[in-house]
Amino acid sequence: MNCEQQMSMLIKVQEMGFVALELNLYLDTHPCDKDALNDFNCAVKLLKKYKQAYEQEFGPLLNFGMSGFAKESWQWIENPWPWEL
Amino acid sequence: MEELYKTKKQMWKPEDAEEDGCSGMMLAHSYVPWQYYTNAFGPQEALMKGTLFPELYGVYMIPE
Repeated sequence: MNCEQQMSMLIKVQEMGFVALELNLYLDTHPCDKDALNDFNCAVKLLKKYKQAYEQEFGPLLNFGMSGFAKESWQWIENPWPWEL
Repeated sequence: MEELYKTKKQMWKPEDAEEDGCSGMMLAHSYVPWQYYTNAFGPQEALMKGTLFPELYGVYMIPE
């Protein structure tokens, strides 16, 4: 398993997740800011894309059904978990 | 004003509590400058710095 690639794809997810979080907090107090809304939607789109790319390659980021359907085998118990990288 | 102060106070302070010496004082007001979204760090820099917004970065000195 390619840990370096896994790590770099996970970091992309974390970075875009942070952008979405920051814009989320900004929009809580500036709900009509069009630029922020646009950028938030862009960030969400990219975040979704990065998560899908990661999960396609390395299995679910979340358990309890929050990362969609299981494949033929139960991938959640396959190492390393995202926080073990 | 005095009435309001008393009512508010009674909501959280037990009646037998000691007098705090603040009776009749004005409440403090806080002011926060309004934030405008004009600039943003890139995703990598934002995560490293802990904020997406350049104007919120480095506002306070980081103790050594």
